[in-house]
Amino acid sequence: MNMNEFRSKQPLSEDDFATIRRNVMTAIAARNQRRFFPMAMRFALAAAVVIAIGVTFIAKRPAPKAIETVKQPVVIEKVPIAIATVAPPPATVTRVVAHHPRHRRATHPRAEYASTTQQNIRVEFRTSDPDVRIIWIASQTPSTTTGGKS
Amino acid sequence: MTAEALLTDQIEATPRTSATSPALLAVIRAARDGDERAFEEIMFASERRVSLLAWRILGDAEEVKEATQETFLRVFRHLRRFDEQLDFFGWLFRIAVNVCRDIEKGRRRRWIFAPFDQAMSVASSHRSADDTIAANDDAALLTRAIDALPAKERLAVILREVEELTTEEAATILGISPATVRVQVSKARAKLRVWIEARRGGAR
Repeated sequence: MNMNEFRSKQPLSEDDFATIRRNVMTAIAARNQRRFFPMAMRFALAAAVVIAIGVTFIAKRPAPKAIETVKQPVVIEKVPIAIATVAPPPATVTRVVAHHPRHRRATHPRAEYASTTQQNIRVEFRTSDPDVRIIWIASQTPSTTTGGKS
Repeated sequence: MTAEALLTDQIEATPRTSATSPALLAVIRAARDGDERAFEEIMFASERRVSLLAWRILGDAEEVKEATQETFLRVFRHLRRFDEQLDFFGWLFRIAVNVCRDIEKGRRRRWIFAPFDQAMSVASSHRSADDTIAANDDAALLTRAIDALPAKERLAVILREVEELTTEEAATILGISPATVRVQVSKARAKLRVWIEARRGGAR
């Protein structure tokens, strides 16, 4: 049995071949047209589309509400004038306690004594702005020796 | 002598040279540079061989048209990659075999996903007209026997025995080693012998 006999007859006619050639050449022509479309033009087109979309998006977006601008205080770098004054001792010492009253620690008697005896120094810095003052209060402990047995 | 005639001569006279002839190379280069006329000449010169190979593999005229068209589109697409040291027709056949394989895969998918009655009609449509010939006719028997082979063995037999390519050429086209081609052809021959003898014996 001769193997060459296996489907030895051409299945396609001349018309079929002509159709195939025409289809292939049409596809190739379309492909070449696409290929020769300049790359830069493609990029330009893509960029134009992106810009158009962006502009449309921005135009459709609701206008943002006006935000009230708060005027920031001007900080003046001038050296403040320091006036050191000796403040009179306060009559009572009040403490602002943020804790719950139940958790408030009892004031130590020695501390109370110290508060009545210590002398506070009040240093006031005046800035060029009359409304702004920097006040520094420091306590000056008495220089008495404690715990000495005499 | 036109390039077309030159190509036809090359195919008919020395169809299986190891390298492409200078005349054919000139036409290929022209086609590669975008000369559509040159590509049409290549098609004109090789379409019959491609379609006959597709016919032997697929056995359906409509699929052969599809395969031939797709083969030349792929050839055009990959023409820049063609190595001029190699035989152009070996390269072309490799593309054609790959296209036929893809079409066969698509056919199998159609069988799987189509309803039963449609699948049967698809399965029967790809059979050749030779099948309608009487069963004891040698050519019809051979056709049915080759169609019954597994895909790999069928391709090896078609390239090696029917197309009469060398083992090395068949191996290059199929992308396997020459030893594997020999094994597949040997297995296929044995199966064909058994199949045909069984049919002949049954007919008597």
